[in-house]
Amino acid sequence: MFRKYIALLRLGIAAMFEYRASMLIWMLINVMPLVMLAVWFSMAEGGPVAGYTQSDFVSYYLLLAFVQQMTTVWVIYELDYEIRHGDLSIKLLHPLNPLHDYLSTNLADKILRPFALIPLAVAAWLIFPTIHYHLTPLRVALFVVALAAAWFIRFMSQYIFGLLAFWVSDSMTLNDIWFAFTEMLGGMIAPLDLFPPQVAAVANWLPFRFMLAFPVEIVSGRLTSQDLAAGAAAMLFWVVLAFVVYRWVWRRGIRQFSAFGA
Amino acid sequence: MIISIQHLCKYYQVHQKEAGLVGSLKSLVNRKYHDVKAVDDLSFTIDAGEIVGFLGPNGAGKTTTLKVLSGLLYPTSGKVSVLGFTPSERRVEFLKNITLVMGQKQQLNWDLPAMETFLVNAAIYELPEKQFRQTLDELTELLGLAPLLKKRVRKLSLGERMKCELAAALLHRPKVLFLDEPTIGLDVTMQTSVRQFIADYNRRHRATIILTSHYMADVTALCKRVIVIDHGKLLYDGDLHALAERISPHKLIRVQLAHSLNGQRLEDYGEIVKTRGQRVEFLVPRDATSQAAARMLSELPVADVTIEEPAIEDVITRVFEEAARARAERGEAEENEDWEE
Repeated sequence: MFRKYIALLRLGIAAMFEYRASMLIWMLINVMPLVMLAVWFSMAEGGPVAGYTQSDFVSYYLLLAFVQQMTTVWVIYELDYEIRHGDLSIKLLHPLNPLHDYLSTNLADKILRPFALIPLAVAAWLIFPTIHYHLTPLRVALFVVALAAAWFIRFMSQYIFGLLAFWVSDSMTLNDIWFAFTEMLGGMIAPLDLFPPQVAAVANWLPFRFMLAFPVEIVSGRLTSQDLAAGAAAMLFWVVLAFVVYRWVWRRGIRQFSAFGA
Repeated sequence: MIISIQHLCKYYQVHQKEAGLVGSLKSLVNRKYHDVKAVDDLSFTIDAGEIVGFLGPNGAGKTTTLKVLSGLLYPTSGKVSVLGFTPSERRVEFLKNITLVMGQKQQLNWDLPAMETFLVNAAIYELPEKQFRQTLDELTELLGLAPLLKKRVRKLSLGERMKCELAAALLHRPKVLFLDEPTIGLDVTMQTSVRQFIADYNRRHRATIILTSHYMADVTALCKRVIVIDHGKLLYDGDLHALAERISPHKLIRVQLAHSLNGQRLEDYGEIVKTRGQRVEFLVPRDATSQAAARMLSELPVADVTIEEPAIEDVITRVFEEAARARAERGEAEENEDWEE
């Protein structure tokens, strides 16, 4: 399997170099965190909002922007197209589950992306020297794991929506709705602890938080150890569930695909 | 026996919708489906090393059958076995030993040189380095790929791309090849070289091959045996030349006359198909061919004579016409749905 991934990653990276300009543009237009930062930054001008100072907002949203960049997923566009045009057939002839093919294309992007982000991170540091994170080795390690989990949940949920193209023709719309929820309840509009307590209590357990805000919360220093442990458990739950649902949908979808004409 | 199909049926459920907005709304509330029988009770077996031509008009069920055989489609009913596997289970060992080449679909990465896709396939099929190099060298030589391997696929001509597609599909040295229109859109020279390559591959690896093509030249050059289907049903399975004999009980005698006739009536020698100047083509009953030719030679001023089978295209066309007539007599409706990709 390792050899297969190396080969697929090589191909993915080579293909991305063919489109480096458009890749950079796609990254740059992803400005939602910066827009929200501007909003909260001005709201906190007169003093902290619910304990968030201006510098807290800067720290939160810049890292959120990083998490968003590192978890970007577009697999539904590929999958939807290939299912609809029957191109999935070609992948099904190979002795390898197509999931690995799509996963590695996305991973190739995740390997290249940090190189483009490092200069931006340095620039951010120079402009906002007050950004601060709670960095202990344990938290940094947890951050990395949570980042990977966020990417995985995002990828698998979008992949599952993509697989719905086996049955329905508007799977993309469902995915758009899912994405809107991620923005609202995942910590993009506002950090989750600024939400009314009842809403936050629910949002804290929904998958959207673990697709975006959770890694940032880990190093923002606002979570207690109990919060962290509970969050990690919920994160693990969503990772496993995403995989289980994928298996279920895939088995049925492939039967559907091959029953109605590949 | 490498391939066996018994009573294979593949029905597609097709959702019927009336045209226009009202039709769309109606179909939302009340969806009507009807079955289209793409393959309808088809049986045949194929032995190791055979090259079989799979013929039929558009929508006959050829591509559907090939997709069932390569595990892409579940049969509606019937038993299918390829190399001892049930294709629809899509076992890794099965997939490693077959290939399906669809002339109108491609697996090569469009933006990168073909070599990049070859390397990925080598990894996916877990080919040992030595075997991969050896196969690649062989394919490069047979197909003349050397100048193409490092060019971006999108810069290749259609024929060059097809050669690279074939190579990508054969790197793992499959024992069974399903070739669906492998020469479609290629010019005559390129068709000939692809054809030559398929024959070579069959000889070298004793591979079993099923081939569909709209070009009869592909079939006559490669296949001793043909399977003819129409509307998902078997029309003929057997020797290509025997088909010609069965369908067309005539032979074609072409005569070049040395000078004009002295009162002999050409009509007396057989059914005249064509005359152009001093050249005449007769259709004579198969059994009477030699007698007729002898008479012509002795009684007519013959400069040259040839006896031929009628063109295979004409034979096949007649097979389909007869099948259509038989269906019409049974009162079956003509369905024009096109199941090819």
